[in-house]
Amino acid sequence: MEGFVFPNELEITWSVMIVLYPYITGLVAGAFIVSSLYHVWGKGELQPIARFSLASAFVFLLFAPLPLLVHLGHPERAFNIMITPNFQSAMAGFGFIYTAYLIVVTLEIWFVMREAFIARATSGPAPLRLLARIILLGNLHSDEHTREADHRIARFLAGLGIPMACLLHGYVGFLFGSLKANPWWSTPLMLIIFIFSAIVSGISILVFHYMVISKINRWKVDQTCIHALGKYLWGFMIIAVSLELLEVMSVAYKQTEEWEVINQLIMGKLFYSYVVAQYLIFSLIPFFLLAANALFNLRLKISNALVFIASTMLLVQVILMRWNVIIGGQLMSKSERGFTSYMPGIFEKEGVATAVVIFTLPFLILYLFHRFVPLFPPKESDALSN
Amino acid sequence: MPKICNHCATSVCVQVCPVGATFRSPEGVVLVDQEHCVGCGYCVQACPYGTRFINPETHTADKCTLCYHRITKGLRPACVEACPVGARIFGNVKDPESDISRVLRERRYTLIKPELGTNPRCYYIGLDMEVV
Repeated sequence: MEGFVFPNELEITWSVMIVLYPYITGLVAGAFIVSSLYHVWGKGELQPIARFSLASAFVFLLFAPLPLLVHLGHPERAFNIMITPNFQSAMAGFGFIYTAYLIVVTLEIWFVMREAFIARATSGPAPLRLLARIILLGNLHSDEHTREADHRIARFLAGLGIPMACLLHGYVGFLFGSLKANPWWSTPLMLIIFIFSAIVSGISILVFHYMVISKINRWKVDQTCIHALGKYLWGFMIIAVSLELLEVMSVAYKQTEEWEVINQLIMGKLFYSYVVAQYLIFSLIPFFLLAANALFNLRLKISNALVFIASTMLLVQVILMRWNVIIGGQLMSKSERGFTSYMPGIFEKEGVATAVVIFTLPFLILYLFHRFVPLFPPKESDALSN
Repeated sequence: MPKICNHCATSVCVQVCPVGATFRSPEGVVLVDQEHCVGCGYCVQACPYGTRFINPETHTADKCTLCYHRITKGLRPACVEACPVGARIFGNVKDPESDISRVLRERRYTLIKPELGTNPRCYYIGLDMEVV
């Protein structure tokens, strides 16, 4: 503790779980945007991972409320947010936005993967065939007309889902940005910053996951797809990091009253995690790696390695951004004359171990999903089943 | 300088509570419904004065209640009662004859962070801005 800190501020209220929550919803939004780039905008180069992106968005969405439930003092009262919502509160939107978006993504999965479910309903172990039939509501009919209808409806749902994905993650940014009590959070840019960094994290997790799965199963990655993802990632990270820098530079230039304490925060408590790690290491290096991929004609192995390393680093960059925003804002006392400190516990209720478990679960479910119906084009799925 | 909850007229904590557990009583006291609060902590973050906290026993938001259980029985808040030098004055600002109304008419007073638009209802006389 340094300076003058109010007694209630010695322990911070929003810790690891609240850092994890926007990270997961960011992965959802980003993965969904990638899926929509194919399903809505017809970016054919993303076809190899389109289904995988949608499934990833769905699975991460299922686990998104988990950090919140762990954080709540009374999780058994969680549904109060939908039973007695206070619509003046940005947080009250969560229940409705989440539910609506979950319905849209579930329906889109159903229509996009109906053919795959039908294939599962007619082959494989009996329990899985039964599960597929239940999912299909007993309708195994498929012809040219049904496929065309499925495609049209899926396209509509994908288009509908884009603003909902932005809303699901954007409201979190708004939740922070609208709090006038905290000068580190209070900016109209926070909503936009969160959305663009979400897209960065979503593309990064897809690249990371796709390349790891391909390596483990000895598949050849689709080069056009990886190259395209690398270019999209480069573009979105430029926007995201520029916005993050713009926000702090704007405060630094204006030199309003809060700059005195924010300056101390940046150059003190957050120097290594914010200045050194978030920007100098995990933003600048991926920028150059992805620039090389986008601008030069490199050998495939080198290009893939650059994109993989950059994606991994950007995954770290985004979690650092969430950490620096959420934890950093609480390190400053509202007296604007002091700082508290925070070190996460490992085995606490809201500790690092809990976060690791919650973050790992979606990958496990995604694996089981893939065992149920293939999430990659058939030639790669055959390799897996063999 | 001791600070209590300002029981703001346009309180941010009432605005941000997602379940409506924080509310303003008819008397103007900002309270928390401990049976309804989910313990999300949004109000703790929203309060510009650092007066709220998550009670480690009830796992809900908590703060100064202006001794609501006392003032509704015609008593004064405990802090007002306890002050040995009478530095705290409590009363009905809508009653022009009350001590508080008289003091606010006669003395210059300051609010804490008025620029945030919270309309705090705690008035400070002779406040040295150095300690705000």
